[in-house]
Amino acid sequence: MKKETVTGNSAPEAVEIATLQMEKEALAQQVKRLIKTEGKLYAYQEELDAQLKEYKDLYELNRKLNATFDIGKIFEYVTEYVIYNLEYERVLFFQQFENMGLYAVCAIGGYYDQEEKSAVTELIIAQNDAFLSPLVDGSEYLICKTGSEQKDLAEFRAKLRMNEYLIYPIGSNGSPPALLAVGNSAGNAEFYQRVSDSEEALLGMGNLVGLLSSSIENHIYYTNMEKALEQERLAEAKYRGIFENATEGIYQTTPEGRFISCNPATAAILGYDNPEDVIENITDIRRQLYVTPQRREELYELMQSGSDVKNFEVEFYRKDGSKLWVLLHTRPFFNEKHEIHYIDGIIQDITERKMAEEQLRGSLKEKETLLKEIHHRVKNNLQVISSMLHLQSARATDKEILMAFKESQSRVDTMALIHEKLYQSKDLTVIPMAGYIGDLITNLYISFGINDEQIKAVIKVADVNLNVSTAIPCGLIINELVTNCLKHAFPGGRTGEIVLSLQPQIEGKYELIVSDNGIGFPENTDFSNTETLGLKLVISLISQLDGTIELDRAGGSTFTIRFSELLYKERG
Amino acid sequence: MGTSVGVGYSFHRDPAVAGKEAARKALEQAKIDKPDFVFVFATVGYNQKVLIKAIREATSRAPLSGCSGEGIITQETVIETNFGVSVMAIGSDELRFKNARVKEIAGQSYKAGERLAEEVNPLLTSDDIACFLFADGLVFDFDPFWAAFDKSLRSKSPLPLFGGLAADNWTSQKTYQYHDDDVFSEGISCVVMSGKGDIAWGINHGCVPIGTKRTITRSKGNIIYEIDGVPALEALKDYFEEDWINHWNKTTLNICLGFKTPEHLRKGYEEYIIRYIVGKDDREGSVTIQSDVRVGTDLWLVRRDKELITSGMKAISRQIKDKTGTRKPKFVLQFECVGRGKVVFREGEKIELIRSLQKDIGGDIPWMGFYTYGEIGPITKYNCFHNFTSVISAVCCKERES
Repeated sequence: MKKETVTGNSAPEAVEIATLQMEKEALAQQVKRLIKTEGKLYAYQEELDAQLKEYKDLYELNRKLNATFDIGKIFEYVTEYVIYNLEYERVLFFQQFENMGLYAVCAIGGYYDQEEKSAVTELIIAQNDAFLSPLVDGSEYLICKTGSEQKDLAEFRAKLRMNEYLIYPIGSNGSPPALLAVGNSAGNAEFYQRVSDSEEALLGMGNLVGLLSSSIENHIYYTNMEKALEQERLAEAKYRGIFENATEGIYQTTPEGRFISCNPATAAILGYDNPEDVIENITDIRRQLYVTPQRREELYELMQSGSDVKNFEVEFYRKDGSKLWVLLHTRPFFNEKHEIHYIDGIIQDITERKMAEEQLRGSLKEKETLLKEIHHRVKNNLQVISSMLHLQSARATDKEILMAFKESQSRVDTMALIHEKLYQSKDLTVIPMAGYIGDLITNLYISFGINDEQIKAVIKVADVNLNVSTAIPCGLIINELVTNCLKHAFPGGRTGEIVLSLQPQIEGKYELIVSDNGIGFPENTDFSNTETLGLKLVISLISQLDGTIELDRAGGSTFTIRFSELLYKERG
Repeated sequence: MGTSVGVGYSFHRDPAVAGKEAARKALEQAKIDKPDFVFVFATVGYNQKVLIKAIREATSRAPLSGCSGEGIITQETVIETNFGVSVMAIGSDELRFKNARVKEIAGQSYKAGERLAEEVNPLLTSDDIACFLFADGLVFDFDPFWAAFDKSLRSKSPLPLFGGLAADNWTSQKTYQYHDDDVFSEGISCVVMSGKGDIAWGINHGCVPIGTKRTITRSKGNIIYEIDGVPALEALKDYFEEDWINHWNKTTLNICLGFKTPEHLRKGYEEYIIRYIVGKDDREGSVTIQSDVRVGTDLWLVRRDKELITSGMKAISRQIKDKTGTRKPKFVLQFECVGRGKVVFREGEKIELIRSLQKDIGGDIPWMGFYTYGEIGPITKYNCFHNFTSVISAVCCKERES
C-alpha cells in the first residue's frame, strides 16, 4: 500500500484526503480481519454442529442400547451408528466362542458386494492369533492405516476386506467377548471417515466402544441372570409341583406353634379344607394338635440339639376332634442366637399303619401264646412217652432191652428239652444252645447215674442260637455221642473227661466237637457203617443237617461235626 | 390423468438398495407404477453406475436425467452428505419430458453449446416450457456455452434455462451427470419440458459488497489474472486465513466476486451478480470463475449475509406466488448453492431456511433439489448463470377449460 506523507506545509484538503486515506486503509484492514473472523466462525460453527450431532446421536444410541438386552439388536444399532454417524464404510462384529477358542463374524454392516459379503461372513479369527496379541496385552485398539506396512495388520486387510481399519475389543480386557472392526475399502475411502490415529478421529470410536462394552457386559449379565432365573423358575415349579401334589404333608411352622405355610396334603391329613384354613385356624399347635402336649416339648428338645428329627410318631387331633397317628420328620432352622427360627416338616398319616401294627401285635401275641402252648403240650406228650418208656423198662429184665429203653427215653427227653426251652424262651423261633446243651448233658449224667467226678464234663458252647430245625438234630447228635461216651468210653469205672464244644465258624457254619479221653473207638470198626442204632442215627442226622463228621481216634475218640443252620422250610 | 409426481430419497450405503428405495418411495408418493420421466440427484459417495441401474430398474426404465450434488433437498430432508439419493417420478399426460446429453465439454464450452443444441433441436416442439441443464461444475463455463447454445437452438421463443452444476463434495475430482443408463463426467445432461404447463421461478443470493470497487486489469475467458494491476491471488489473499492454500474450496466461499448486474437485467435482479472463485493458479496468481469476464470490468469483493439470504428466500416465495397465483405447482426443482449450506448456516438454521420456503410455496408439493457448484436461472427473459443463489423453479399445469 502506498503511504501518503503529510507535511506542515500541506494544504488543508491534502491533509483531509490523507486522513481519509488512512481511515480507509484502517477500515480495509478491519474488513479483512472481519472476513477472516467470519470464515473462522463458519468453520467452527460447522465443526460444532458436527460434534453436537455426534453427541446427540450417541445419546440416542445409548438410549436404544439401554432399552434392549437382545444382542442382535445391540449389534444392529451399533452397526447403524458406525455406518451412518461415524461414517465408516464397513463394520464387522466378531463374537467369541470361548469353548472353540475363536472369534467368528456375527454381524456385518455397510456396503460390500456379494462376493465380499460371503467371504467376510465366513471369517474366523483364532483367539490366540498373534494378530490379536496387542489387545490381549491391554492395547485399546488395533489400527491399520492406508499404507501401513506392519506385517500382521497388513495381512488382515484382505481377510477383513478393509484397506484401512480399526479393531476394538468389546467388554472386559484380556479375553473380550466380542471384537468390533470398522474401516474402509481402498476404492471409495475418501467419502468415508478415514482411519486415523488422531485424537479427534478416535474420540468418536472411543465413546462408542465405551457404550458398547457396557451394553455387552449388561447383556452377558442379563443372559446369565436369565439362565439363573429360568433354573430358579424350573426349580420353583418342580418344588411347587412336589409341594402341591405330594401325598405327604409338607409344612413350615414357627417355634411358637403357628403354621407359616403348608401344602394341601397337610390340610387333608389334619382334616382342614385347604392350607389357608390350617394357617388361619391353628394358632397353637401344641394345644390344638397334640393329644399329649408333652410330646411337643419332647420333639422341641430333640430339635434344640440341632439335628433333624426323623420318624417321630405322635398322636394328633384332626379339625373335627377325631384322633390320628402321624409320623413327623422335622428340620429346625436357627437364627444367629441359635434359637429355632422356624421348622420345616413332613407329616404322614400313619393311623392305618398303627392300627395294623396293633392288630399284628395282638395277633402275634396270640400266636406266641398258642405256640408256647403247643410246645408245652409237645413237651408234656414227649415226657409222657418218656415216662411210659421208663415204666415199660421197669418190666424189662434183659439188660440190653433195658438199655434200649433207656436210650429211647433219653432221645425223647432230648427232644422234649428242646420244646421246654422253646416255650420258656422269649423268642419262639430259636434255641439258645449253651443253656440247652448244659441241661442236656446234666440230664444224660443223671439218666446214666454218672457223676461229674467220675467223668468230667467240659462244655465249651459259644453264645449260639439255632433254629428248631437245626437244634433238634443237633441235640440228638449230642445225645447219641455223649450217651455213647458214657456207655462205652470209660468201662470198669474208669475216670475221664468228656469235652463238648460248639463254636461258630466262618460263613455261617458251626463246628460241634464231642471228644473223650476214654478207651477209644475200636480200631477195626467203621463208625460210619456200624449196626448200632445210635451211630446210624448220628449219620442220618448229619446227613439231615447236610454236614460232615470226622473221627479222630488219638487219645480217645474225637468226633468233629461241621454243619450249617438249616433254613426254615415252608411246610405244605 | 393429469400430472402425478412423487419424490423419494434414501441414505442407505448400498447404492443398489438406496436407488431402489428412493425410486420405490417416489412411485408410491406419485401413486404410479410406471413414470413418464425421472429426475435423479445423488451424492458422489455412491457407485454411480450401480445406483442409476437400480433406479432405472425400479422405474421401468423410464427416461432419466440428473446429476450429482453436494447434498439433497426434499420436503422431508435437507442434507449435505456423501451418501444420499433423491428421485422424482413424474407421470403426466399434460407435460412431456425429452432428454439429451453431451460429453467431453472440458475446455470447449462453446462447442458444447453447439453440440447440445444439435441434440435438443429435434426435441423441440411448439409448446416447450423450459429446459433443465445439469452440467459438470468442475469444467463448465456458462457464457461461451450459452452463446453457442442460444445461437444454435431453433426454438420459436426463448426457452428459459434452469439447472445446477454437478458437485463432488469438495473433492474437486469428478462430478457425474445422468442420462438414462449413462453415467458420465465432464458433460451436460439436458431435459426439455413441454406441454400444457408453465414455470414460475425465483432467484436470490443474499451477498453484500465489502470495500471499494476494483477493476480487472488482465483476463482471458473465465480466468482473471490481475485485479487493479496486481495478480488476482495477491489481491485476494489478505482476506484468507494463512492455510487458505490447503483449504481453497471452502476458504473461497467466504469471499467471492460481485459484478454489477447489467442494465437490462437490473429490473429483475439484485445489484450484483455473484461469482464463486472455482479455481486458482498459484504460479500465475490467477483465479477462475464460471463465466467469462472482460478486462476493465469492475468488481467488488462480496460476502454472504445470513440475514439477506433469509430475507431473499421470502422474496423468492413472493416471485413464485406472483406468477402461480392460486394454482398449486405440480412439482418444484430447487438448485441451491453449496455456499449456502452448512459452510455458512448452522444445521438447524439451514433446515429452517429451506423449510420456511417450502411451507410458503406449499408443504405438500413434490419438491426436489440439490446443493450445486453453480446455478442457472433466467433473470426476466435472459438466461443467466449464478453463484451463491437459490434458484427455485415451480412447474404448474395450465388450468383446464371448463
